[in-house]
Amino acid sequence: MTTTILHPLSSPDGSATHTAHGHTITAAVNGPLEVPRRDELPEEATVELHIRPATGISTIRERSLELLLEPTIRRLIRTETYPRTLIQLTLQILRSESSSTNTLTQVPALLGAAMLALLDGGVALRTTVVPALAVTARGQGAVLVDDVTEYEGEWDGTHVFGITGEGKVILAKSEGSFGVEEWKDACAVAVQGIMEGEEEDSDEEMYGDGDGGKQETGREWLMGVMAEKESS
Amino acid sequence: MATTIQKPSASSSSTTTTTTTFPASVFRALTPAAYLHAHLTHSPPIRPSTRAPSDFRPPVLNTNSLSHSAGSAVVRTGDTAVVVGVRPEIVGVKDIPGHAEILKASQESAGEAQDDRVEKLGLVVPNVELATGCAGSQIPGTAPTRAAQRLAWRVREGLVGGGVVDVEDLEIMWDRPVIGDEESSEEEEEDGAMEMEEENKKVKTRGEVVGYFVLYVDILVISLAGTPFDSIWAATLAALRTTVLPKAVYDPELEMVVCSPLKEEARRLNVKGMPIACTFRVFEPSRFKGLKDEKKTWLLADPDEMEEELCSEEISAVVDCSNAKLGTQIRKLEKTGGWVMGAEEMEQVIESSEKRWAEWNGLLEEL
Repeated sequence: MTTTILHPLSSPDGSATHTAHGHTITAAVNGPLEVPRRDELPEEATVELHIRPATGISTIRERSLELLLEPTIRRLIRTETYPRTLIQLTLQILRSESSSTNTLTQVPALLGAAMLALLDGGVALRTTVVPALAVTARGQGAVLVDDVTEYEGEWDGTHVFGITGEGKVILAKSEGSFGVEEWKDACAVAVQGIMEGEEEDSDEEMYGDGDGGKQETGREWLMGVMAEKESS
Repeated sequence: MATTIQKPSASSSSTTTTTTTFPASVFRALTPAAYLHAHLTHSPPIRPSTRAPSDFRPPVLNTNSLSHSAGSAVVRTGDTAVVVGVRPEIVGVKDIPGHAEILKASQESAGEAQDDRVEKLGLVVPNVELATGCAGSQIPGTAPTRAAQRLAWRVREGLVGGGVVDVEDLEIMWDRPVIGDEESSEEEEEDGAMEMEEENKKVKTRGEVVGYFVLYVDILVISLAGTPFDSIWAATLAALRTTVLPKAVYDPELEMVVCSPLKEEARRLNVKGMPIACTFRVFEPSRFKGLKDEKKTWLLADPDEMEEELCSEEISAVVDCSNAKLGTQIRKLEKTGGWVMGAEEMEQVIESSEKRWAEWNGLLEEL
């Protein structure tokens, strides 16, 4: 189930609370801000990303996630629009259903929350990104899933994708054991699920509350969230 | 490089085309992107390090160079050099809170899911240190950088999630003598052992986990010139493959685990599979001033420090081709920072990684 609340916080420039794949994240974006001189870049904005866990202080686990997401976020933002400034993004994990230390299933929720906060904050972007989670089994096709722990089939590979507005892969993280064909399959399923809608035989619900009729695609979901913001 | 590269002057308004000539090192310092681009547009394309775009740096491997560790390795690829030492320590189950539940859970799910005791009990502890001065960005007296922390986490993920080290190899067992049936039924024990006893009343001992070896994997990057993870991972694998654990037995009188000093009784750590990490970056000249019209992009294998700074898109794969039945298994694939490489281009990445795997396998297999 994917739910989204735009602008839950009043003081940051942009914020969003996003739940996906069993993880709830609140993202806040501030910027352009004044940048400490040693981080200042003469021709573009400095992008900072902080991830805070639900309990305790951030550990190397969060640092690792930060460094995975940061290049992607930096590439999304038109950094050349804000030279000598800082754009700061903070992702607070509110709730994680899985107790596992595995970072993989948290990535789509983090990326989705970051994207929404950036849109809410009105930061100039190159493109949008919609995350997807898929699983593959050897010799079989790939399936988009909402929650890996509830998926009933067998699988060997778990894949996370961030798909841009043009249907390209900006972020990917996969774990398990799979061949390049399965990865390509998962990638195609993710792009299709976001750009064109899922095939009929898929019983998984990706976005929205699926009130009968056609499945909402990832892009339609993002458009819907933004349309709501505009009208409010 | 003693050669000079000619670069047309930027003043396009004047009709006279003046040509400035300056050494390559100045060109590199002033406009690194144009410098790299000028190299890559050569025919055939060549990188500033004289490698072809798909060439990895040749690896050099030394093992067991640290005499005080159970296993160690030094890996050098180009100017990136890494030392890894493995140090085993013993932890008794009495000192692990909640051990009985964790053990029970892993025995119940035996066969279904992978035994995750290595992860849950933290039996493999990697630590990465980027030595002071190993690269210009490493200044003395600071806390571990985010880069170092990320590397440590990735090593941990690879060792724990990838099932490289088997928990059975780290267990220290003791054959507990069983006196009478009443006592054994009073004690908590697994169903399997109960059945065994009913079948054969003469069984007088029962295997019990009394402790574990904890492997501390200390990784020191002595020189950093791009792509540290590939070297770190290979060195870690080599160090683990050479790790020798002493024979450890539980002494019920001393109530502690004692290790045998005899070399003949020591055993090699069993490392499963041969996952090899390969990192690539994508050079997009259109991101830079003066090169905006260049549509072409280049995939650079095993980038060095300068290339890492210029290329935002990174792809890192961990492949294992050691299982002939399954063919090439991708254990991990990470891509961030750009959208040039799509599904079709990924084939090229994996193909290139397979070649690199064969190269590393040749070095690591004999250990």
